Amino acid sequence: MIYGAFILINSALRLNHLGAMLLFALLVSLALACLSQRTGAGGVKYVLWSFALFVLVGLGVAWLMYPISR
Amino acid sequence: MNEVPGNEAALSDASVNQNSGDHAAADQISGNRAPVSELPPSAAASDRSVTAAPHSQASSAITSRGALALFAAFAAWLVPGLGHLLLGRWGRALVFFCAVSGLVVSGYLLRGNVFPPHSGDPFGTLGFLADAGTGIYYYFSRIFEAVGPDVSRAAGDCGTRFIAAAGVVNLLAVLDTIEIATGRRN
Repeated sequence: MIYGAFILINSALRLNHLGAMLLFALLVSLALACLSQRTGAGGVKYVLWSFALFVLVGLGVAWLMYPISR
Repeated sequence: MNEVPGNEAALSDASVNQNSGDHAAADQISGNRAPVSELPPSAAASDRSVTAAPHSQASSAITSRGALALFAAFAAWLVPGLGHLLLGRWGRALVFFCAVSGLVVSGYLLRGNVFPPHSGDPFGTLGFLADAGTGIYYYFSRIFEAVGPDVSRAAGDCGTRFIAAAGVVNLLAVLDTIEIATGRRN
């Protein structure tokens, strides 16, 4: 049953590179905000700030590596 | 200033208040208490019982707290979020469970590599330690990834990082559980 649910999720969720990066940034930002013990508005601000930095740095590194990949 | 009549009393009052304030502050810092004879009988009795408490009670409290920390840490490692749940931190438990589970399942969906215990090289050992941090998900990997990993594609390589990151996040959650259980963290 678990494996069936897994296959169902797999077919429903087709992750491309950008989607995978956004998902990674969101989940890790949530965990880091929880570890930092910030609550309320401070916690939300931390999540947003961390998420934005993950995405911006990821895109920046991707652009820097683009000439190497060709 | 003192030549003005009436100022002496005001000044002496101020000095008395200041002195009493200083004594109170000093008592607070040094932990001094009022003598037992000045306390009401019930308070004096409780004070005597506190001072006469056997040393073994304190050590047993420390031991039980340590045992609780160890148990919570093991639970937190085995099932992400369970350690926080046992300590009554529902919100944190939910966040850690969702974050670690989301990362691991995404990693499996991307067909990331799960490192075996005996890979033979240092990077493989590091990968195994990170993957083993996911707890019970590590043992589910053979079920989820029945077709095996595929790191020939970039997505599979991303999945490998997803699984390792999930393990590291869960290990951080384990440390957080230990600190909460031992009282070092709120």
